[in-house]
Amino acid sequence: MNFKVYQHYSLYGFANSYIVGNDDAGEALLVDPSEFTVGMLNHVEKNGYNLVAVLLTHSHTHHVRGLGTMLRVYDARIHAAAPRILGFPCKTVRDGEPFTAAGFDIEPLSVPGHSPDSIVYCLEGLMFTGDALHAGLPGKTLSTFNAALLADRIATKLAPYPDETVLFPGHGPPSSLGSERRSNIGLEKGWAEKVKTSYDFFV
Amino acid sequence: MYSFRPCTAPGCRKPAFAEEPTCVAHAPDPESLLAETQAGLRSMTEIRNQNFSGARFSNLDLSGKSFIACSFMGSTLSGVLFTGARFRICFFDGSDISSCDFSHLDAQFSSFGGARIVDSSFEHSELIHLNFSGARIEECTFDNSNLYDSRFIKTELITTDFIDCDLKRVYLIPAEEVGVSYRYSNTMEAIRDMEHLYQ
Repeated sequence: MNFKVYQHYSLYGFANSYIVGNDDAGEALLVDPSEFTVGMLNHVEKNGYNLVAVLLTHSHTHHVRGLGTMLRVYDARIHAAAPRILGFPCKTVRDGEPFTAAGFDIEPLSVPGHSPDSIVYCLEGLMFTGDALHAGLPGKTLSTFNAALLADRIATKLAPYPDETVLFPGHGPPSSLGSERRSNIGLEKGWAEKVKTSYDFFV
Repeated sequence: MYSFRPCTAPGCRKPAFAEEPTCVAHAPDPESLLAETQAGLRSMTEIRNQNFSGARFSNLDLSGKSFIACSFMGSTLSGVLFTGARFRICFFDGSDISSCDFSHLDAQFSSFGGARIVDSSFEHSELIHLNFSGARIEECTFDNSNLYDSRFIKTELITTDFIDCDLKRVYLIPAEEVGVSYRYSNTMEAIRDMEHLYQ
């Protein structure tokens, strides 16, 4: 399959948004629209895509605020774990129930801990991890329980995927699953017990 | 973006190399495959959506070339010149990089996670949103570079300089730090400690 990934860095929450374009189908999907800018619109139009779907990794405002703007331009279906986000109806995704959007076969994985509705989307050897997993760090959690839950879900849910799987997180640079298995702080034994009830690494 | 295609050799989970059906190790003639690939790279100015995982390149001049959505994961690069090159969404995770030149690089949103980087220069470069977490970086220099929002988490930094660098929003939480200089760099704007994470 011929496809392109376009990353947009938003100064609103220092968050990453992604446009994944399927050149064969002429369709694209948008992951975590922290905003929807002219640059993103130009990318979609310049490549001749029809933006047909939005994948939301979770409902925190830094990852969804661009929905309203985007929906004024494109009639895209929103996929998320929650039934409504910012008042917009969503097609609910569930762990282990693959679906197709923009010609991509997408596997959603439920990885709660950062938020109860955190979903990791896997397609074409890529993982859009949202705030569940960042380069070198796990997502922010507000309790020891959630930190332990997140570490466990990362270890178990992502286990079947190869080291070469590319990770596109909600904040910070990209990584690979192999690198995170070897050196992510959140996957160290005893991490959850050490974590504070709150920390402010991420916005 | 390159597609992840597994090697067709039975039991192999490595990605297939470039347009080949197998990984480098399972290619019928790996040496000629790598030689052809090197020759092809020399003749191109923009390389898009290519998977060079597991490659072994040495003494290769790729100066000024543009790499977009390419993977060099698990590759061995020795004496390769990327001087003035451009990287966008490129991956060098788990690579063994020695005596390479990345000076005057224009790199964004790329990863060197878990790589071993020795005797290499990243001087005078734009290194924006790069991941060096889990890497071992030895005898290298990043002098006069902009490293905005890059990450060095659990990185081993040995005899490596970050002189006069812009370290804004850089996560500098190395596992080991020996003989590292941050002279004239804005370390106050980097994230340097674990106290936010650990009690």
